[in-house]
Amino acid sequence: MTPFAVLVWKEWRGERRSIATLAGAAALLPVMGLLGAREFAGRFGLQHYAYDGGTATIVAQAALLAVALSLGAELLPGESRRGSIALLRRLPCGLLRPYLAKFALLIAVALATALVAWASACAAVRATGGVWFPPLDFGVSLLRGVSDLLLIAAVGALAFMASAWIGRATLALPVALLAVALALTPFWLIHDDGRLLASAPTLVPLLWGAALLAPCVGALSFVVGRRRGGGELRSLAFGAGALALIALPVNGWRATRVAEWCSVDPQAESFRITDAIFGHALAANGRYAYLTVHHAFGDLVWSERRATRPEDWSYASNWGFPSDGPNHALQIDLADGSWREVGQPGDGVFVPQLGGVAQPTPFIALEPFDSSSDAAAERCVLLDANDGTERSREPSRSRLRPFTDRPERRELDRIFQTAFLPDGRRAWFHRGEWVTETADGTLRTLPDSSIGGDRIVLASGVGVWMPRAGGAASDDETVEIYDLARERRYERSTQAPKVIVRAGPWIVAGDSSQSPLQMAPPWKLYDPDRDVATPPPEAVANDTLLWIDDDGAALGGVADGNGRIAQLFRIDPERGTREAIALPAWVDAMGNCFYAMQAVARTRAGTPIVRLLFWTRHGGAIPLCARWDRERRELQFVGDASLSSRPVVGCPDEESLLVIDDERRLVRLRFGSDAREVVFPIPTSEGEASR
Amino acid sequence: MNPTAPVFAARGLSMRFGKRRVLDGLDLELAPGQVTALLGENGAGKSTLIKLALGVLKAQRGTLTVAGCCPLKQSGLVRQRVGFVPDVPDAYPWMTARELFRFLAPHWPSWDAALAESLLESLCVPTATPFKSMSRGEGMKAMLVAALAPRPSLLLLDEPFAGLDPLVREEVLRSVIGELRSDPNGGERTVLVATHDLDVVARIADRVAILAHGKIAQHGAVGEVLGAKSLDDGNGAGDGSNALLDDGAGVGAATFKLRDVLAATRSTETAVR
Repeated sequence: MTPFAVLVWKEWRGERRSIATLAGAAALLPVMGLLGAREFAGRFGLQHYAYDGGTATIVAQAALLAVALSLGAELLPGESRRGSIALLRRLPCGLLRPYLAKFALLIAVALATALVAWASACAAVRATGGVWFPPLDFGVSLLRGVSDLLLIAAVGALAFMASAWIGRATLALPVALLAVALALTPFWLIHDDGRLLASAPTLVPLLWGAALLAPCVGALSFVVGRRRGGGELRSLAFGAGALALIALPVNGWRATRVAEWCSVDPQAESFRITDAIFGHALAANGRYAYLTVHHAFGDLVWSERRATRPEDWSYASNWGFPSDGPNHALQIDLADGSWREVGQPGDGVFVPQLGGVAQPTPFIALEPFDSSSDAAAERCVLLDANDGTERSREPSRSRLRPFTDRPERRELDRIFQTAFLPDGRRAWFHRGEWVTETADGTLRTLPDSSIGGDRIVLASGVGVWMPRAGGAASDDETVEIYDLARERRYERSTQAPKVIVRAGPWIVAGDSSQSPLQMAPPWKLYDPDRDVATPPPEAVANDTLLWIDDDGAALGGVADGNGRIAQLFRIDPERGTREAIALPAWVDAMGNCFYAMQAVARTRAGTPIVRLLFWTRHGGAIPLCARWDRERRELQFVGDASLSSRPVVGCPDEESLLVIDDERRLVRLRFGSDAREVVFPIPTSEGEASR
Repeated sequence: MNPTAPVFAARGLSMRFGKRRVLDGLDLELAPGQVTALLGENGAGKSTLIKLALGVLKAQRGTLTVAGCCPLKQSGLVRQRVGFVPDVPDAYPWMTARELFRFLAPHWPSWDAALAESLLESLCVPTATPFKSMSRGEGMKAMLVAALAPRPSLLLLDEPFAGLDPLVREEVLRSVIGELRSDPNGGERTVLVATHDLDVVARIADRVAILAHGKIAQHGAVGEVLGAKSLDDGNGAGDGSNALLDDGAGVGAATFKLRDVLAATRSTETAVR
């Protein structure tokens, strides 16, 4: 026999009664328990479980835990209690091999006992009418089983470790848990408002760490602590020291994560302005921009990261990138580029009741975004966008109902549910009905405009779809359209979605397959009162309408032989007249798709900002933003074409447009000028400023 | 290892437990082949010195060489070359003597199973009785066999006869005296016996070292240290070696001599302070 084998033999020989007792219990208790449960259920008329192999797995896990907490917790303290530790100390091999022998015996007995318990439980399951094995499931059940085993292994290993410090086996588990709690106290203390929780993916490595490191700490405690006459106190000192050393990086990692969670550094390489439709806003007074930002840690190579890549933010940042840091809501002072965080880490900026184009807003909402959860956030804070002060706290953004009755709602509705009437007045959806503002500032409810609910209403020209309760179905034969100009409700066929409502005849889209432009269909005029469609005036019959202005005029042109619009016109679809609109000299033609011209924003005064797609004379397509000056009948382009495709935050004034460049900068572009100015973050060098 | 080099050499050895200084610059050398009795009062540091020799304690100061090795840095080697008998048998209570040997044998490459069997028989050690059921004397004899079976070059006995009732002690003494010295290899075994029992000293020791106040106060042949005349009167072996003293008068004289030595040591220390 080798020295190690004889050490294992000694452990076996010394503990064989305990081992036999455990094995006997593992063999008998499952049978007695399951048969007893069936008997009990039958006697009292209770529902009897249909046991299966899952029961056996639970029994086996219980057996593992029982061995770990009884035999495992006794092996080390027993040496001190019997005084035989002195004999072990005198062995030429030292104390490490005896420790390993004990651990080996513990593993072997635990596995064997679990096997016996499992087999016994399987037999009992069969005897009670269950099935031997459950259907094989390598999905959640298997993972759950593995994680349960991991937890048991960690608990057992910790109890074994702590048993090196104490003289009583019964105290091993409480002492182990106490030690771990003390070691990880900073881990639990270092957190923000409870949202940065240790989720399951975090706990798994912790459990693995505990299962693997606890025996090592136990070895240090026993071997080094006891080798030169040391007692339990000395073992405890070594063990506690080792635990503290192990806990240090864990707590440090935690602290780093919290620091990442809490901090925003616009100059950091990982800094990103979230490219989200609802994540940005501009204050109604034009002074502040509100941005949702985060740190994209996962995008950086290892050496450039500020810290270890966080694998599993409990409330990860935007739009499903779990490696990113959390959202932060920033208020940017457009006057000087200074910024401050509003709300809490994890909050994103949301603009309630959005209409689809960027418009200055008097209020914004802040709420945490959890990419890992479909549930709505449980908190929503409403801020006055003009100064960033808190106005109210709502239970959630999706339940802003109490907010409906407040004056803020009217302001929001006026801006974000707006349709512009031909006379320049606004009409908006307010408390379930459409209203307009009279000259004296009072509201006038449009007749028959109630849809009896808070559902989203889509505007098309000066018309509004009136969705049915429960939403539109594919087999609906008709839809209801409310004409804000005529102040009437119409029911029309399902072709109606291709309708643009105007003060004059509506425009109805035809079959796009007959159009020379991609997805830009031919059109007709439609009289809703008579339900009659007529061809457009001959002069503009072949014109493609790209965009309809509030006054009912369209911007569009005639497709050339190459399927492109060579010249842009302001078209009166009703009268059949056009006026040419000047384009930059380098423009060869308009893009050949229906989204070659789209409204992207409105200025504070309501002037539309459009984005146009051009073909250049040198080839290639370029988008370009422009302000449509209705009075002068001209497009005033921003000079910098390179940023025109960027997400638009809004127009702080009539002269400029704010866009997000490269997800990292807020840049101001000016209409009719090549000027560009980085507003945020404030450039640290001239090179950055001009970039 | 040099055959004439001391098997045990301590220089300036100091050890304290808390505020209590147990060894204070102790110097001691044991020549090969001699049986040395380490005499001292309870708590004088005899057991501490032996544990230092085994490498299970670490001295705060001084150097110690045992069987040519450092007990701390080469603890495995030292323990393979040194046999040890504790004051109380510390084998597992469930073990029998044979199970103890089965457990110990693989750890000592020099383990002589035949010698162990022979000693078991000659010392009349029960082989099937667990330690918890053995008498104190049987347990001590079993531990002695376990210490001798690896044929150690140094044997350390930590008051092995203390606590035995007189009859058992006599039986054990008679049994082991012969085995202590006899080395089956023909070499000379060095023995250090910690005791405060002058009878043991007189019967088995060649030399005696008196440990007092953390130092070796006296070290020499038994006759020189404890009084050759009184020992000679009792036994007639006046050369100071292998002094076997088994009459009460000799022991009584030696006891008085020991008291004198300890008293003289105390007064010398007081004067130095």
